[in-house]
Amino acid sequence: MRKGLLIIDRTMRLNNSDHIPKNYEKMKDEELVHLFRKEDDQLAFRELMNRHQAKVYSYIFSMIQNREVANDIFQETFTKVITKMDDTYNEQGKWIAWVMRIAHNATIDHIRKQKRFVDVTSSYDEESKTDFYERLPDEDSIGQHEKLELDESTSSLLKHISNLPEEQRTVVMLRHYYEMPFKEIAELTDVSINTALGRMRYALINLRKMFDEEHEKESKNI
Amino acid sequence: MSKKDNRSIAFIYDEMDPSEKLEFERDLEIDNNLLIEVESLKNVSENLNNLKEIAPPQDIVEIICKSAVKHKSRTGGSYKRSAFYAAAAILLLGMTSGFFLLDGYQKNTESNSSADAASAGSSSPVLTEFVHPRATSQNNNITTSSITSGSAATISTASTNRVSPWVDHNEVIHFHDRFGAGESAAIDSIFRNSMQKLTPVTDPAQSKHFQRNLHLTGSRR
Repeated sequence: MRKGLLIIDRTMRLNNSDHIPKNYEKMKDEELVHLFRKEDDQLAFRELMNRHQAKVYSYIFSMIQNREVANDIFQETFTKVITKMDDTYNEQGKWIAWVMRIAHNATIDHIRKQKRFVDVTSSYDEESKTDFYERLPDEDSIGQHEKLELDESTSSLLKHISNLPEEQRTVVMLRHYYEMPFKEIAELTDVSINTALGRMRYALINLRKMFDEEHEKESKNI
Repeated sequence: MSKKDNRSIAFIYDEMDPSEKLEFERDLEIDNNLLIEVESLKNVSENLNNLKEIAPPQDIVEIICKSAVKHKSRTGGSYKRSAFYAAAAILLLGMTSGFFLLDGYQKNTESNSSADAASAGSSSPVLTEFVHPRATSQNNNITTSSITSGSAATISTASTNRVSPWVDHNEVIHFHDRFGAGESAAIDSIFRNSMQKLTPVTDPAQSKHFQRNLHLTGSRR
């Protein structure tokens, strides 16, 4: 049975935050992480989840565009976060950047696996001058049922974003959901800052084209 | 893609240095094409703000929170335990090294003083140390006869670099040192002379030192 996706306002807190003491809301991420790691404070972990779960999930969902897979990757991400927090996470760095790196790696792994398991008989098409991956239909692209569950503008935007190449999509999502500086995006995606800026520029140019085409279609229909 | 092309993105997302920004704004004033590009990209970027956050299913969030509880209970505060062991190890290491440092310092000062005493009695450079027999300060019963008899004081020819005398339960001093074949008579005489000069320590406060050194300070000359 499918459940609808809940779109939340940026300022809205989730239901399960009711029993978290108010003073936790004022704490910084580092303080909450410290409480969870060193004093096993579960409420601190819940507060961290409340703060960042929607952003992490949105990023994964926008990259994958499939709710079930996004759920799996989201769960896998936080399972890794829980198990590796004691060993791998260095408290000097931003916790959420570390979490995002895990989410990003899990997402990219999934995308690459999906592509790897397709039988490629001819990689380059002379006629269309495209390689296999360019012609590959995005099987995770947003389905009709998913569209109905999202609000119209979000659904439309996600559809366009899903048509962007993976690396451009990554930069757009990391910047949009996390307001992540391009320097951090560059580090996360192992490219230079100039490449990250370039990818963002191409992403915006491509989106602009898509918006224009959409407007044209709409005006023709009218 | 050149850095120049990316300046518009850095400008839109406010990631320029103040000086770069000023320069770019000047360029915008004179370059209409650049201005058009920046405005159109800015519009697209603003459109992206309509993209709302999507909340994950609550049941998955609950599963994650429960697994956090399970993980912490399974690891059982491993951090605290490891921190405790680390602190204990550091403390032990500190105490041990402190002990050896102090011990080494005392041995050095003792060997220096005893070497001085030995060289005063003979030209032979033999290093000797004396340990105060147990309870010397209490009953003053130094068994010089047993010590000087030669049977109780064991002088071995084992290759030890430092003399390490010790006192057994019968309050007999044991020495281990290396002597040349022709030196044993000379050493014995030094040893006997030294023993004859021994006087019991009258001030018990001096003997409270944890190593209970025998003080060769008194002389009956």
